[in-house]
Amino acid sequence: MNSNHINNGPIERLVTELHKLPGIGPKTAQRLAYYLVRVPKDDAIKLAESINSVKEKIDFCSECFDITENNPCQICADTTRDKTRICVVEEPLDVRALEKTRSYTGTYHVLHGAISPMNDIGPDDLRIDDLLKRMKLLEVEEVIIATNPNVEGEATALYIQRLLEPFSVKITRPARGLPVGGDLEYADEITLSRAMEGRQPF
Amino acid sequence: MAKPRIYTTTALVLKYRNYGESDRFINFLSRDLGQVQGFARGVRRSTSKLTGHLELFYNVRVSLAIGKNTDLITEVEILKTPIKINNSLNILSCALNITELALNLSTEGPGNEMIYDLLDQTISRLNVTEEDNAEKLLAYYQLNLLFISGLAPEYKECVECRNELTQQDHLYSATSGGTICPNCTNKQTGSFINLSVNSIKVLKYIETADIKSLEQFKIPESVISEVNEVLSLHINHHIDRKIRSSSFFKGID
Repeated sequence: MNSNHINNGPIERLVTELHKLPGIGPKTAQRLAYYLVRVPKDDAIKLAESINSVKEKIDFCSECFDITENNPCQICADTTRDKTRICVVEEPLDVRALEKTRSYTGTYHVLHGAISPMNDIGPDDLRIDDLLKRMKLLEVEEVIIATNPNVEGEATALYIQRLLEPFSVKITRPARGLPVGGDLEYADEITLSRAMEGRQPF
Repeated sequence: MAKPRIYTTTALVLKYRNYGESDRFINFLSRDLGQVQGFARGVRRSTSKLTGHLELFYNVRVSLAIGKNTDLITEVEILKTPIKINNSLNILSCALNITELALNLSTEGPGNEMIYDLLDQTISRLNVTEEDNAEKLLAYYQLNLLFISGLAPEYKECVECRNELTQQDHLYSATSGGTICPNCTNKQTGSFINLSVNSIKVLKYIETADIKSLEQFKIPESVISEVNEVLSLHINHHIDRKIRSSSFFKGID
């Protein structure tokens, strides 16, 4: 058998493309490719079209830099949202997670990452300057820095806090505590101590 | 002797890299095993038993199961949580710098005990010290790390004529490996930076001082910055790459 035929064939090309996705190893890519061969043609075309439309239609919101179909995004365009509060998050997925709670009615600002010297991601690689521009334009009363509670998130939060000092705005961080569904015995000391510090009347 | 299928070691968390949906690769510096990499499955999920146990700078007792490519982290017990480091940008910046240095100058396998002890001691002090002492601790760490690695710069005599340095400002050259006296400066090519007489005194003091007494020692900010700049240049030259954390938060003030 001609080996070039195997390497350059449509299935092999699909396997190569799927393998580029995060968390997809060569075996999983192969399994997915052979699954797609078996699915009805309509389903496969729908998948291809949805990938295509994502790349064609999706853009960044010019205000909050969340991923959106329309510019400004639905949240920024909503007049009922509280524009005096900005919640700064690392990734667009964090916006989705916070929106699911339905308890936050302010706006967002997506940084698209966190400061990580080891991975060569510096403040200039994030949307921090755009946040400062927004601060100058809007009358913001509170900035909630909801970066991840790890060292990179803390470094980013401290950095932003330092930059926001001249704006004399209220700067807050989300509370930390025990996750619902988790076992107390497996919680780390920091989370436990923060949870005890921030305990509420029953 | 071959490692057992599951082994336990005391280690410091140096680095992590997200992988897949909720996993992470963690790089440790173990006192007895040197650099170790482990795979923490599901650690980014809030309900994982490993969540919050494998943050940077933590000192942990970690159990790993030998895997095909990377060992799998099965259990973690926290020994020290230097959480106050995260309260100050200056201290955090220094802590990131020293862990990156440890990552670059330590090796796999035994023989890293002194680097481990130095890192553990410096992180512990950074956790309790005042913000103004962070640069001093960074200088202490950098110089001692260079001594441990056998790469310390020469600052007692001229690297060219071998004459003892006089009480005046000198030049430092990374390619020559140390200080050059004014008489030899003309014979040299390449780049130099200024090394003041006060910086040389501070280097000599740090060499013999213990970490706690160094914190009490008053050093002007310009002098300690110059010392750190020289030491960073020296390290960058020897490892042939730039320590990225060192310049990240510069210019914020």
